[in-house]
Amino acid sequence: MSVAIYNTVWLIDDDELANYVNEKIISSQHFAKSTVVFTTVDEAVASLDLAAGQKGTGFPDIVFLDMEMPGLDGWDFIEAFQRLSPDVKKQCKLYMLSSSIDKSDAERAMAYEDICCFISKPLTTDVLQTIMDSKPGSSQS
Amino acid sequence: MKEKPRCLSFDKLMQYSPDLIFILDQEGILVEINRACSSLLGYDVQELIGTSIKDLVYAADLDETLMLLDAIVGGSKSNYHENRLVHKTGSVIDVSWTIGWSEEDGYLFCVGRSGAANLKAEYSKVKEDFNIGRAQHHELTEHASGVLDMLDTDGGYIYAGGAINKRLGYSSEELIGQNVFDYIHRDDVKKFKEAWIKLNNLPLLQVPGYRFLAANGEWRWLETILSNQRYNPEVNAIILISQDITEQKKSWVKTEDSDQRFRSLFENNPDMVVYENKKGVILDVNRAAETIFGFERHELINRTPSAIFPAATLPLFYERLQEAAAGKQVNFEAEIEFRKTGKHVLDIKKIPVVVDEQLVGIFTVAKDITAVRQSFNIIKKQANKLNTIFESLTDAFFTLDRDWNLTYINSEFDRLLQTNKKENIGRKLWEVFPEEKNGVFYRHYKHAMETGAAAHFEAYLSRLNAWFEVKAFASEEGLSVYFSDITNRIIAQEELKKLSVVASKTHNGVIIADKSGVIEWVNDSFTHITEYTADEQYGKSIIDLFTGAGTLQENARHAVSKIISSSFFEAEVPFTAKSGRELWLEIGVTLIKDTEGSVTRYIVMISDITLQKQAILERNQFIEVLQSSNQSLHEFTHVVSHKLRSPVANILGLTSLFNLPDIDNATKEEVIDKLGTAAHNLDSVIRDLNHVLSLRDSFDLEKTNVQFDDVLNRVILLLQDQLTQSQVEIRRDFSLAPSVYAIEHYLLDIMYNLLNNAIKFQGSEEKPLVEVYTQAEEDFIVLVVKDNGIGFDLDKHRNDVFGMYKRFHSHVGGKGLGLYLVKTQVETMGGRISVNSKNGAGSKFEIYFRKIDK
Repeated sequence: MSVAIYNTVWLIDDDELANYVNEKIISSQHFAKSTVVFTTVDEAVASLDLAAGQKGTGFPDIVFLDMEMPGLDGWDFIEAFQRLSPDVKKQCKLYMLSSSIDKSDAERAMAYEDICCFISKPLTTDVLQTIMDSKPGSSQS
Repeated sequence: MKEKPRCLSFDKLMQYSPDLIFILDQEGILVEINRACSSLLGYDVQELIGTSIKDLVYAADLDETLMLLDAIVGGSKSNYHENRLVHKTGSVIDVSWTIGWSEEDGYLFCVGRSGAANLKAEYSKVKEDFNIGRAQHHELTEHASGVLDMLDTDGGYIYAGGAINKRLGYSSEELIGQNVFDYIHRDDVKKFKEAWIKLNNLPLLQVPGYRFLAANGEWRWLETILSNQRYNPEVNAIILISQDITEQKKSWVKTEDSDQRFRSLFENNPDMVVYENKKGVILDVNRAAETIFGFERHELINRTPSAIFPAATLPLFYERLQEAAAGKQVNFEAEIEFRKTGKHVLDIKKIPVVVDEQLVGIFTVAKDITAVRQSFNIIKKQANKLNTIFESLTDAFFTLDRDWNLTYINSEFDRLLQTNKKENIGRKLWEVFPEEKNGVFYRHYKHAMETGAAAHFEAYLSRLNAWFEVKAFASEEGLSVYFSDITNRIIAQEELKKLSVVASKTHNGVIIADKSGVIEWVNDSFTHITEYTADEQYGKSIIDLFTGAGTLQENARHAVSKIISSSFFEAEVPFTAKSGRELWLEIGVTLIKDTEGSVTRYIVMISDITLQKQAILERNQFIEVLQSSNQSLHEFTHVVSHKLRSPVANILGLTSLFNLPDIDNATKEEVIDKLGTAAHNLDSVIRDLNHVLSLRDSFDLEKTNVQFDDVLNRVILLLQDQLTQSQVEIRRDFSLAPSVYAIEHYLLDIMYNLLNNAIKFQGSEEKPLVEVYTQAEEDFIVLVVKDNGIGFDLDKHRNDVFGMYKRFHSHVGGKGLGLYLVKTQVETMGGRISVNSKNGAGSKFEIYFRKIDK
């Protein structure tokens, strides 16, 4: 059993099926020690602010963010994330995880500096592997 | 001095002649005088010799006498003269002279007879008789040719002698006791009385002429010598010796009268009269001359023309004077600037006065014609001006006198009628236009002349194949006639008539307006289209017609300027027909110009394009609908691609879990279960899509008149459970618009979704209330669904409210399809939907259904 690469991964999506699939893949890949699921952006933003205040504890290393949600949506979360200080922000990589396969959606997402990558659902082991490979010092594991 | 002529008979003559004989030298000094001077003048011969005649002649007569003597010396043949001499006692004696000039002797020979000479002689005799005695006196006086009366100091008759009284028709007895003053003419009493008083100091006095009442009531002129014999104890009376001088007086008066008349003519002549000698020296002037010269008479007498006339005119005057002096009557005009009275224009006549073939002087009579000349100039100017006016008239113009003679013709007349006024002025109109005698022109002119009424007519002149508009005005002098060539207008009218015939047959409306936009003619189609009859529009402004029927003033102005600049204008304008029916007209305006380029007419073609316009409007509406549905479809595909992809991605993700190395059976079962859910979701989306597509594809669904009440009742039935659970109160009011023309099924869906939303998004604080009511607007029926629920942030979601799969509330379930469906259904029926909402303050949806819908 290898040690998980990341401490905390956040899944922000109102689609329960998608969350189920993603959690399963993440845990089977030993991608993160803990996976936190938010089905509304409201909750996610509240936790983000809280974690940022606690100087690291509970702050996610990776966030997979869906865009289309009722009420506050993925774009609202990005807004909230942008307001954080650069020191805090650099601890976390923000991935957009969307059911869209539309190029224009990917382009729109990539216009945000804080978004690392636009990933079309479903999340796969290959995608997680790529993320892990891109982490500095990942070859040690 | 020459030797005195002496001879015996001369001496005798000088001694015995009762007439005065004076011999004078050229200077008027008495060289010789006869003895009659002592009886007539009271002087001795020796007293007078060597004295001047001037000392003897009565002062008033002196000038005249001297002048005459000069004239006689100068060769005048006039040798009769009357003057008065002064008696040594101071009394004045009339003397009639005959005077001759002896050139060889250098003497004037004057023989004078005293008018009273005979009486005087008689008187002397009488006086002697008094001395002899009264008794003898009577006898003597009875036979005396003269008269002798004796008066007391009051003028009462003591004695009335002889002939004169008889001549006057009185007997001696009648006069005695009467007072002489009662017989003397009132105007002469004063004269007589003065003499009477003077008699106190004088022995003898002559009363020169006074009127005495004759018995027949006639006034006779008497001349009387009064002798004061009051201090003569033998007489003690005033003695009168009277002579009837009525006849002399009459002739004298006549002379006096003609002299007076001449004087008066001279003095009062309104023309200036100057009497001058041949050298131009002024001898006399009248008052008019004083006025014009600006000098008084005494300042002018003995002056030469150079004193009066400006130097520039002097040569002219002297030249004319010489002509006159040569015996010729001269007549000339001169404009003279007098120093004192300014410029005068004078009409001057110089008349030489010749007496006995001798020029004695020159009368200059000058008439001041300044004013005449001025008015003449003014008249001339006016005439010129009038001529200019007549010539500058654009109309042809001529005047006729009452005998049909042409008295004036202007150039335009000649131009139009191709005549020559020089040949025609003075001729009779009917000589110039013989073919028109008794024609239409003649009739009008004749009527105007006879009635004095102005004539205004149009007539055809066959000679020139032309039409004229004629205005004739009668006056006392005759007729003033103005006319202009209207052939073009008549042709245009004819054309208009022809045009009208054509235009009346077209389906398009035609309006013909004159150059000022006044409607002259419209065709039947115009009436057919606009419902306005021809009679209603004749004489009205075309602009008013259109602006009154809905065209904006501004557009009308624009149209007018466009027409003027380009001769053509085309536009589509709204137009309200007489009945109020709204039309769209296409109008085309054409400008008709005459050969000189002036606008003569507007022709407006109108066609009714209401149907086309409606079709276009409908087409545009249809395009709008298409565009909007195209937009929706675009949106739809976008949304659908997401919404379909989502369950598909889940299925892909779930199946991939089977490949995970550490998957257990329990998990596998779980995954299979979830695959089922995912597949169900996919199915659900596809069903939704199908539903939406079916709505969009339902253009042919039939609309009916749907009652809002019915629909709401059915919706409430469908939502019974939710309503019971949520305690929502529903208030309704459809009184303003109880029904709408719509697809019933859609209306049911719409109301279901709106009500369902209102229930779902109810607020927590207030008692939930939904109001459903209708409003009627001009073109729409509005269905309003208003709740007091949580509402939403309209500013943020404005673009998404009616979007497909849009949800604003994470805590309330739903697919985000309801309002999208509502919108789709509303738009499919040709309506629209709008919303007003605020976070926490409820929502209000308004759905607009088109009222007029076929």
